[in-house]
This record gives sequence, structure tokens and C-alpha cells, in this order.
Amino acid sequence: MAVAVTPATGTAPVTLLRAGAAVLGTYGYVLGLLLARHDLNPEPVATIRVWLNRPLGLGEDFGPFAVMLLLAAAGLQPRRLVQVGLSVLATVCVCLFVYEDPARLLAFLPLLLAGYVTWAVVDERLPAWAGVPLGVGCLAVVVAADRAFPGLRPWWYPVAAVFAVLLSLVVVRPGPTAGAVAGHPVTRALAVAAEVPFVAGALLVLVGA
Amino acid sequence: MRYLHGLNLLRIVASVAVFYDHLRGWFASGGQRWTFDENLSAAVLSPVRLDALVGAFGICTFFLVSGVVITFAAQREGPGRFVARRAVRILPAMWVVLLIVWVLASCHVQVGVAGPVDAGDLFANLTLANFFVPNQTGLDLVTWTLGVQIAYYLFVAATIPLLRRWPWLPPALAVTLVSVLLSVVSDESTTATHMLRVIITFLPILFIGQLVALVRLGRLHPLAGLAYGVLQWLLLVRGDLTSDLTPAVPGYARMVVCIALLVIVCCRLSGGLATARWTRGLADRTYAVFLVHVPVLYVTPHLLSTTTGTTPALLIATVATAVLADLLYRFVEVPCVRWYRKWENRGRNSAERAPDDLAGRVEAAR
Repeated sequence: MAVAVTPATGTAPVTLLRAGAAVLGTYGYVLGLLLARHDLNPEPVATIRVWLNRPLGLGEDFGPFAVMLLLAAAGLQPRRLVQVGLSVLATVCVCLFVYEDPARLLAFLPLLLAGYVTWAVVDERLPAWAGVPLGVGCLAVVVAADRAFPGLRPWWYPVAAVFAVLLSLVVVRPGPTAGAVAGHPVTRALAVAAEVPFVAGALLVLVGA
Repeated sequence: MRYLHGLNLLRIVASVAVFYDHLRGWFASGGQRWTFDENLSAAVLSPVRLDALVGAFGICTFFLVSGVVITFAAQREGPGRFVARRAVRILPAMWVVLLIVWVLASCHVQVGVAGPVDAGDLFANLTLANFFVPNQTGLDLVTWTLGVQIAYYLFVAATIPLLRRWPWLPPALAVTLVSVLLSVVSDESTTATHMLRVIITFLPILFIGQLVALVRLGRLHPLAGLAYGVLQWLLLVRGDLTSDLTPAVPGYARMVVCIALLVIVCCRLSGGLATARWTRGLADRTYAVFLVHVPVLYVTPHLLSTTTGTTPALLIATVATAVLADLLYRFVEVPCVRWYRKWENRGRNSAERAPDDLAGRVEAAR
């Protein structure tokens, strides 16, 4: 679905988050998944794992973090129901087919609400004093899922959720440079196709690639 | 300069985190359980992997905020004035606390000081030499962070002329300097080399704060700031990967990214809690809290807990910290800053002077 994404329309935050999700999703759920399935660990990927993934606490080659960015971006544009639906569908595909674990939905979906709360506060539909506890409540649900399902604990999803929320808060008021990056054709193309790598990852698992 | 109100909130949170971490230390030192902490750990801190990093979170937040605020100050001060103002801001309060702790320790009062003390220990602590010379007794161990701060101040002072003319150059020099020093200071077998390594390892956090400020001031392109920030962060990771001792606990790199994002968000806050008077008042006293809380925590509970029980002892320790920090702020920090500002303004006519009250408050907020 083509989305007119320009800084002027105020969609730069969504564009940036979705483009980030597309890049990290491709790395995590396409490249990372293929390497894992073929038991490969090439030097560049190993280096990224040592220097970025482990220090940041973002495991599984940034995949879950990418899902959370995608959902946070979806929450920031509540009026685009089709876009929100596609993002949720991509998340469901990842949880059901890549992980074969629906419990992960409980760790991922609160980010949709966190994005929505952020949008509501920025759009002055919700006062900040109400938005902050609601946002914290979204993170609390991720924490609760982490505690309720011991299988999730090794993946540090609450850490990824904190990063995704903070990043959303940073990009939600973009400056001129961020606006220019969001307006770049490559960024826009990535943002438009943000769900593709997640669905592709699920397909790769389904076809046994 | 537009005052960054949101950073006051972060300074308060940082202060609470450091205080809370030392409360934990007090419980651990007595071999006691702290049910509140166990619940908080299980419900919040462990899931977000902050359990072992509560104190580190506070210290890193102070470093990052300091990196931002000091860069703002460096835009309008010459190197000499910059160093003098920072010295007046941090040294008198530290010296007063160290002197009082030394007197108490000399009288064998438990103030968290290990072993007997003599005049040499006092001199070493007043000059922070205790962190470089072996077998010196530390009087207030949180002062190690001032070693990192002072190293940063000296770098900023030395590069102020460059910062004004070519704002991109000091960050490039900072990256080079930290990288070279990490390579050179790899052995931590002596007290001095260990402290040097500590300073070098933590400097990138302050430099990330500097980058946030330069971008916010419009002196550095955001993409350049991002690139330098990533390099500084990778140096922090390198410091961690190449040392078994420093940082003492893993996870700093992850936490620094979170704090940097928080700082960027908080820099934009301009209303509500961030601008409340009590927020400013509390934030102004965070340095005093930082200095006094360890000696107070270790003297009051030890005096009281056997007779009053743990909870009242902790409440009394908390109130005592607040009261002493307020006294230190009112009767040492603010008067020293004001006295120095008056001395600095001597011989100038009123039009050339900064308003004394404003200058004092801005300075004291640093």
C-alpha cells in the first residue's frame, strides 16, 4: 500500500520507525534466519553480535526489536486502520510461524498501545500526566509477559521494549534533518514495504528454506 | 542559553538511584534481607536487566547530563573562567564533607571508612590522590566520579577555542584520545593505572552528552553528532570488552543508550513537573546528596538499627541525608559560588555584570 510520506504531512516519525523496522527486520528475519537455519556464522554477523547485539541486549539479530518498532509506528498512526492491521498481521505471522509461540504476541503487542499513547499525548488528545502512566503500563504488560512465560526470559524483550518506546519518543518530534531523512526516497520506500521482511521470514520458515 | 528544565528531573532520578543502590549495599553489608528491594527487583529491575545497574544508572545519568550542561557553559566562558567556575562549584562542598568525615573517622565513628586515618589520608582525599596512590583510605568513595568529571572539564577547557571555531573538531579529538588511551592503558595492576582506566572507560559517556548539546545548540549537524556518538559508544563497548575490571558490572553500554535517549527526550520538556519549583530545588541539591549520603547512611543506621529496628533507622538516615544535603547546599555551595561571582565581577560596572542571583542559580544547577 502506497503511503504519501512527507515531513510536511507530519508522518516523518512513522516513516523513520517503519524504515528502521524494515532494515532491522530484513537483517533479523531474512538474513539472520537463513544463516541460523544453515548453521552459518559469517564474520560480519559475528562481529555485529559481539559489538552491537550483546552490548545493547537486543538478541535474535534485532528481529524482535524490529517488530516492536513496527508496532510502535502503527500506534502512531491510529487513523490508518489498514496500515495498523498489516503491521499486526506481520507480527502475528512472525509469532506463529517464525517462533511458533503465540505467547510472544503478549510481549510485542503492547508496543502498539505505547505508540498510540505517544500519538495521543503529542496530538494533545491525552494529557501527559495520564500518558506517562499509560505508557509505563504498556511496558508493565511486556514485563508481565516476560515473567509469566519463562520461555521468553532469555530474549530480554522488556529491554527491547524500553528501547523501542524511547526511540519512538525521540523521533516523534523530528527536526529538519530527521525530516529530510524521512523524505528521502529510499527511506520512504523502506517505510512503505516495512511489513515485507516479517512476512518473508514467516514464508522462509514455512517453505523450509 | 535556554535552561534545560527536563534535565532536572533526570538529576533527581539519578540521585535517588545512587542513594537506593547504597541502601542496598548497607543491607548487604549487614547480611540482612530487604523485602521491598526483593519485590522491586523481581517485578521491575530484573526484567529490564537493571538489577545490578541501579547505582550505575544514576552515575551514568549524572555523567551524561553533565556532558550536556558543561558544553552549554563552555559556549560562553573562556578556558580560565571555565575551570575556575567548575572548581568553585565542586571542590568546596567536597572538601567540607571530606573534612567532616575525616574528623569523625579520627574519632572512630563509623562513617563507612575502612581502617584508621591520618593527615596523609585527608590530604590524599582532598586532592583525589587516594584513587591513584596505593594503601590510602578513602573517606567518601563516591568521589571517584569527580575524577572522571575533572578529566572531562580539563578536556573541554583545553578545547574551548576549537569548540567555538570548529565545533566538529573537539568531538573528533575526543574519539581519537579515548581510543589511543584505551590502547595505551590496558594494564590495571596498580592503583593508578586502574583509576586511569576507569576515567578513560567512562569519558565516552560525558562525550556523548557533549554531542547531544552540540547538536541541540545547532553547532553540529545531527548526522555528524550521531556518527560521533556511535563511535564514542563503541569505545565504551571496547573498554568493556578489553578489561576484566572496568566497568565493574556488565551492561553499561546498553544503559548508556537508554540514558542518552532519555536525555534527548528530557531536553525537550518545558512544562509541568520539569519546571516545578520543587523540581528545581531538589535538582540543585543533588550534588550535595551525592556527597553526603554514603557517610550518613553508614553512620546513622549503625548507630540506630540495633535499638530502633531497620526501617526507622533507614527513614532517619534518609531524612538526615536530606537535611545535611540542604545545609551543605545553603551554607557551602551557594555562598561559595556567589562569593566567586562577586570576586569575578569586581571592578566591573553594573551593566557588565551578570545578575548575581541568576548567575548563582545557573552555576549551582551545574
